[in-house]
Amino acid sequence: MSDELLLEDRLRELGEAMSPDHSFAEVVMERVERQPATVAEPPVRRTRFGTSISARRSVLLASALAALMFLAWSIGGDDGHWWGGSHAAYAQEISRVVEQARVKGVVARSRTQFVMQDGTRHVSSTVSNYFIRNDRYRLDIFDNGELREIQWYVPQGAELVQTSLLVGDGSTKVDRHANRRSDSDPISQFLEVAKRFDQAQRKFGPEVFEGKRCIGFEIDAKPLDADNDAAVYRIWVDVDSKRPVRLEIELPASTPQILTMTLIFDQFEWNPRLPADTFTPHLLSDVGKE
Amino acid sequence: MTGLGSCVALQSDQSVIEAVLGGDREAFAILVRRYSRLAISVAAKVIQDRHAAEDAAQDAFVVAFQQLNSLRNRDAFAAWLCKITHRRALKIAATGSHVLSLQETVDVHGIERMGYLDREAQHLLHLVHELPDHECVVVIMRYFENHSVSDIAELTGQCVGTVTKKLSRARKRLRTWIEREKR
Repeated sequence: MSDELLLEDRLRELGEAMSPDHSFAEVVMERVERQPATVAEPPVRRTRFGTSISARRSVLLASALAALMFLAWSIGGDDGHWWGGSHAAYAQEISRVVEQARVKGVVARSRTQFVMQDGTRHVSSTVSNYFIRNDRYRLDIFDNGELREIQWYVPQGAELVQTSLLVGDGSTKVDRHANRRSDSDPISQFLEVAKRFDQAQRKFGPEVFEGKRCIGFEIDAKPLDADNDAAVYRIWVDVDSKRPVRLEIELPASTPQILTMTLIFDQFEWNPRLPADTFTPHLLSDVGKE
Repeated sequence: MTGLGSCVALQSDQSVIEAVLGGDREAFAILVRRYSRLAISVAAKVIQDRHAAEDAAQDAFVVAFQQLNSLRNRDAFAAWLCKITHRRALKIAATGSHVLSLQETVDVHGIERMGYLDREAQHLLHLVHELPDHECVVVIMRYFENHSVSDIAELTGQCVGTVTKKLSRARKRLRTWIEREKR
């Protein structure tokens, strides 16, 4: 028998040894039946501004983090009554202080919670966000605590260059986004949000997040974008330190199965010390954990 | 052909995945039956215990179902499943005292502790998984799952010529490695 045929026979014999138990598939499917539904990502939807949903997510993310950067220091005063003033006063003060921003960077955790039409709730992958004000950011995406993907967003001229690294196979992909300012400048986006502070709002709380007693504010983003007809921001602030603790951005979803999707940000660090190569796309020598 | 894979022949991975993501979770059984030997073989490379290897493979399918919407290239399901299974097997190997890695088994414990595969078979399995992912997958589909070349092409969204070349290269690579070790 030739070496070729011998090898093929040995491979087939090996395959036989890999035969699953007769109940293998049934056991898997029983477990699958107990899992929440796995659904397709919402399709990309174009808006009147020509940005996609994912681009809008970037805008919202940028706006949200900028809002929190601002709040991190603007409510650091000792009067203890920041949230006792009028919304118009907030808006005016916010606009003034944003122009003098001192916060350069923020790190936060985020994930998306889906409420399905049948009332069940599911949570997406977890993302670690690293954000430099008015400049660049990085998203580390974790599935079940394991790093799946890193996305770096770095400005280059008028463009924002997105480099994505899939940790599993080491493959990378580069996308270039035009119109950098509208998609990535968090301060200008936040100023737009701030203009609406006097139009909304509800207050919540106190509620406890991360062991801190917090008061929440709700801001309706509807006037910012007619297509974005139900986005709502909720920001919770620690009543003791007066630092923001949690942010939720609620969006209507565009698939029939999903009722709403809410981006949730928490575990904030302000002006953290980061490794020099944090914003430089690179292959990892060590796969991180969430 | 074996199992349900032959009955539902030729629904590509991509179309099955789209059906699952569209709400037909029963369709996932097609992928389970299509790739069960692949997943078990990946786990068996790490874990010597037959039952633990099957457990790891089953865990991997459940994780794959949970994360299916994150798979960008739906024709790459098999390679993606291999990675999930390998990670799961490593975790089980790291926590289970009853399981041993191939290296530990061969080097330390000798043939009598090598589980349900004999030494040659275990070594060949190791070599198969040393192949590049795209070659490993077609070898397993061809020889473990007994799919024809044209079926593999259809299932994985490749052309017949590509699958044939991958199989040929893989066999050549395996023969070379085996010959080198004999010398």
